[in-house]
This record gives sequence, structure tokens and C-alpha cells, in this order.
Amino acid sequence: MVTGQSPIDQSGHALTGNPIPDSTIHNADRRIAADTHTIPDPSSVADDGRSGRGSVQQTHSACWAALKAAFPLTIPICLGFLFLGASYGILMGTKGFSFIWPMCMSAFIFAGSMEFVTVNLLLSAFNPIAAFLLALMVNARHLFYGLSMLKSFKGLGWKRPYLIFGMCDETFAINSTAKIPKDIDRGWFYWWVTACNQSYWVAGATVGGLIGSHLPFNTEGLEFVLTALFLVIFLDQWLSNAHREHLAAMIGVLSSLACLVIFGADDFMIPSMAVMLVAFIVLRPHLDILKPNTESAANDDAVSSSSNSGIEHEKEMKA
Amino acid sequence: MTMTIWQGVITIVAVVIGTMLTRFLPFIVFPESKQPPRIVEYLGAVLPYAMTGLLVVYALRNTPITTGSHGVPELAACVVLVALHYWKRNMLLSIAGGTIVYMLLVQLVF
Repeated sequence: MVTGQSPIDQSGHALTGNPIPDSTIHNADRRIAADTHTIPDPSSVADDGRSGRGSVQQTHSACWAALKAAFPLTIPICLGFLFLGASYGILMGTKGFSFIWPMCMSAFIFAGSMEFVTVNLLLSAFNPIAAFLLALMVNARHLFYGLSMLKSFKGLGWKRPYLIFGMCDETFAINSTAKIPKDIDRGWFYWWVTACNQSYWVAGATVGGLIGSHLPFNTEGLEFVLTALFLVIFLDQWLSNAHREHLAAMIGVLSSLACLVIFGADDFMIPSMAVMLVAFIVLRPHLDILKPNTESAANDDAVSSSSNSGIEHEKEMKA
Repeated sequence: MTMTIWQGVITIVAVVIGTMLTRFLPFIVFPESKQPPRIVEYLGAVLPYAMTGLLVVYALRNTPITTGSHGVPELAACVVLVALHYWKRNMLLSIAGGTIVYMLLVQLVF
């Protein structure tokens, strides 16, 4: 499952063995075949007869199909989170905390960099107000994640609060850019990406707290797997989009690079967000051509998000 | 640990509230039932591209340019990753390739 398949292929396979209404089968098959040149499995049509068997079963298979589509995308995060989570657990262990602390903190705070900061807070003077304000500042980027996912998370019912709670950098990066096939339930897809990633992180932190620093092999440099993940997602977006999306991406890279040089590695996040915001508002007349995508997404509930619809639309045009 | 257990728990709760506020605030200000202003929709459409760019910079922010390895392992790993991705377009392969190159360089060369 790991080798030789692109994420799109994986989702294509997830299509088979899954009850879906007639109309979407034809659309989805045609689109996936055009995208990846896979031949649609005839069993997907045969399975169609099951679709009338009651909503419980449907929910069950929608949930399962979404897991099959989502899990491959989380594999690099699994490596990175088990490793980083473990180093966080080990760090807390060396400071004299039992594994209960990293386990609960990773489950409830679930924001990697802030958890490392909190270790230092716990070792200094008691000041919850300062801790609260620091958390606001360190995690300010989440505000932009929320703005980006307003439309995608619409109408997801009971799943929505957990999706918002668990939206760390990596989960956002996957969920905001994934090309979710039309036959996969978008709510379940987001839910599995979020739940898988959080379970990796909590497992890593707990195990790290338990075993201390006795790792069996040299893991120096393994943390690069998360850098690589962000870079690949960036590249994927770059390669599948036109110049307006490129401009939006360049605004992100250039404003954060400039602020990194000016403010340094510890303080550049909030200035970059401010610069980005100003740049987007100034360039709105040029960039707001993304508007048609946004509106088509609003009209079509099956489409997961504006950016996805843009990507899929362009792919269809190319095909 | 210098704090009592309860002081520690309160500190963690404060951090949890701060973190969750940054995650939930946009959804509280612009609830599902109402159409958000046009400019918010516009920002929601362009921000994912920019935030992915920011995350790349964020992940590489502590690369030592002037000291130590001068960022050579990072640069080499990124070049390998980009080349692999242009060639095969396989997400997991590109990530594995870049990470292995990085690990080999920091463990064996630098």
C-alpha cells in the first residue's frame, strides 16, 4: 500500500467495494480514470445493489471507505509524530514528569510546538494568565486555518467540533489540500485524518514518557519527515494550479521569509501573518478571480472545498 | 517540578484554552448558519496556498545558514525531494527520499 501509488490511486481503489448511487459512480469513475489512467473495477458497479440496505450499513461503509482513502496520506505524519511525540515524552521524562503528563498534554493541548513550550512553563513560576497569552500567540496561525476551513467544515454535524479541536499544522495541511474523491464521505475523511494524526502523536508522547531515552536505532534527522511533508504538499499545489494560486503561494513564502530574516526564528509567525493579510487585501482585485470556484463549491455540497473544486475542475479541463 | 500538581494542571488548562481559542474563534465568529462576508470567503480561498508556504518556511526556520553545516543537508534533501516529486509525483516516495538523504547527511557527513 505504501509503495508505488499516488494518493489519487489509493482513493481510486477505495472506490471499489463501496455502495454508491448510480449517478456518482459514473461521474467518479470517469473522473478518476481521466486523472490517473486506472481502469474502473467492475465490482464497484456490482456492489451498487447493496446501497438500499439501510442507513446504518451505509454509514459504516462510508466510514470504512474514508479510512482507506485517508490513512495512506497520514503515513508520513505517523513516522514524524511517533518520533517527535516520543522525543517530547522523553524530554518530560528527563525533567522528572511521569508519562501521565505527556500523555494528557498531547491529548488535550495537541499543538506540538506549544507542548514543548509548556514544559518550560511548568518548570517556572506559576502564572496561568501568561501561559494563556503565550498559547494565543504561539498558535495564532490556527486563526487562518479556521478561516480556510469555514466552508469545508460546513454541515458536518457532530464531527465538526472534533475536526476543529484536532486541527494541527499537519492535519490542516492534508485536509485543506486533499483531493477527496466525490464518492468518499468528506466528513469521515477529515475525521480519520484528524483522528489518525492525533493518535500517532499521543501514542508517541506516551511511549516516549514510558521508555525514556532507550531508542533502538539512531533517529537523528528523522524530524525532517514533517518538513518534507509540507514541502511535498506545497509542490503538489504548485504543480496542479495556475498562476493566481502560485501568486497566493508566493505571498506566503516571501512574507514569511522576509519576516524570518527581520524578526528571527522565534518571533516571525505573527508578523508574517500580518504581512500576508495586508498583501492579500491589497492584491484582492487581482486574486479574487478565485471567486467562481468558491461559489460553485457553495452550490455543490458534494465538493469538499473551494480549493479542491478548483483543482478538480482544472484536472477535468486538462483531461 | 517546582509547582504543585494543581498549579501544573491549571497551567495546562490555561494553555488548552488559549490553543482552542485560536482554533475555534473563526468558527464562532462566522457560524455555519450565516454566510460569512465576501472578504472572509476570499481569504478562505487564498490562505491555504499561503499557509502551506508559511509552513515550509516554518519547518526550515532553524536551518543554520552561517554556522555548522551551513544548511547543506537541508538544501540537498529539498533538492532530492523536488526532483523525485517532479519525476514520479509520488508523495510517500518523495518524502521518504528527502528524509533518508537528510538523515544520512546529518548522521554520516556533518
